[in-house]
Amino acid sequence: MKAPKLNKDQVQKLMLSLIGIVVLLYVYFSYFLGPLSKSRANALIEIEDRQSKLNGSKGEIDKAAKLEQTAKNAAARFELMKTFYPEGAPIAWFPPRIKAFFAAQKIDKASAKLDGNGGFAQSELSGWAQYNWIVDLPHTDYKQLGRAVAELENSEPLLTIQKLSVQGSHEQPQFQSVSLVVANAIMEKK
Amino acid sequence: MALQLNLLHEQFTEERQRQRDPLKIGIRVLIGLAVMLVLYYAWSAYRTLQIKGRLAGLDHDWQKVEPKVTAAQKRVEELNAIISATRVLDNYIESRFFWAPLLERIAGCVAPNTQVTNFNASVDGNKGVQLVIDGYAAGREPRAVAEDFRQMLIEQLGQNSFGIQPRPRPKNAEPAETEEVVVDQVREGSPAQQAQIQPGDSILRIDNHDVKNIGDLADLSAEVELGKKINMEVQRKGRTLKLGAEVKERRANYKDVKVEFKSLEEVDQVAMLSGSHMPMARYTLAISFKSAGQGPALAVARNRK
Repeated sequence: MKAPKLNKDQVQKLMLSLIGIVVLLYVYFSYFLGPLSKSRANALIEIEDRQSKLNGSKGEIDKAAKLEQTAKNAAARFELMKTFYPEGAPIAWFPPRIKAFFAAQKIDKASAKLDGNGGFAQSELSGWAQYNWIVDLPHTDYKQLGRAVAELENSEPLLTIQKLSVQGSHEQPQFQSVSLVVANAIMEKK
Repeated sequence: MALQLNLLHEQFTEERQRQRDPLKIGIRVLIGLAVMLVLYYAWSAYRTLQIKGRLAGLDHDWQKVEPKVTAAQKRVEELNAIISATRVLDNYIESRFFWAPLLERIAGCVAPNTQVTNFNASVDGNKGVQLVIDGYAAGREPRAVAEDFRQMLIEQLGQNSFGIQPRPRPKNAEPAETEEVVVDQVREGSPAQQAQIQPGDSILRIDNHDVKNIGDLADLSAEVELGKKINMEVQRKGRTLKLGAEVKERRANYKDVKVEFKSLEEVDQVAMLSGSHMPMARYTLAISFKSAGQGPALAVARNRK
């Protein structure tokens, strides 16, 4: 079949119609259907997100409740550990506390001085610091020292004795001068 | 007539030509397409509205639940942090070296003819303890008195919860992965004595754990469950015996105990012992061991009171 011959005017009109169709399609897809589809796709993604959050919410709440039960002991122990030391700078309360402790053990003239402090390497103890102290007991006897050390180790679980030095007295051999290097873990209260 | 027909033909052709006007066809196609697109748009908009309605419903539900979920998530984070911090702190507390049992054991070794003048000890991060003791020993043979003190320290520091004193390694011998663990002494009233373990027995197994070296004995002693019957397998004169014991008290366990003289020399001084003058020797003992585990220091404190 032979294609009908178009005159110049008809070709121009045909081109104009084609341009019109192209413009219509462009405007339709770019400014009407495109944004609508995009908005629908976004809404679907949000629905999926909300749905998964809603589905997971019960699990999250249950998980917290379950963990609350299993962590009861740990939480209670942690709370207890926090109460071992009073608030305030350790330099203010540790030396008097040590002095009072040894006085109660019948060891007088005990003194403690700060030897340095630093954080823990473990990330779990980021809120805790380790304070090192030198504790001097200038006049004690071995028996009293043994009792006092045992009591100290039992009553201060966050305290460790790192060095222990006992020097005998020449004048009174029954008495000794003792120096302890101790470190204690203290939670830095904010 | 022919002219009329010809004119009519031209009129038809013109009419047909007008009907095939591309602009008109184009406008009609455009209108048709536009109608279809509008309909499709309307249908899409309806679907989008439906979806948005669903989203609004879910948002409403989520807003109700979100504070609870956020609080729960925060609490889970807090609790996990508490659990891990407590675990690390527990480890910190449990891995402490308790000095009171060591002081007690050393006190038990110091005889009236021995004096300790200086005592310097430190513990490292691996629970390895280094200790230097200076002092004097007095007696007819003061070096022998100092050697007795050294032997006593080896015996006391080598004690464990079972009450088995293993035969020490030969001098300068390093701990080996596999070595025969021979009983040197059995502590009076100890679980080992109840189980009728005798000096010279070789310890093979304790509660299905092979005892490959002296360190294993200390480790098993540190882990023993109090009040539970333990089974011991020993070799005596070529025969394998199965014995039972119960550990009622956990003691501090030290392994790889080394007690060596750094110096031992007689000095130009005499001591008064039981009314007589005795020669004296000055000694320096270097002690090292690793702590395998220990009993509660409070028990020691109570025992001492």
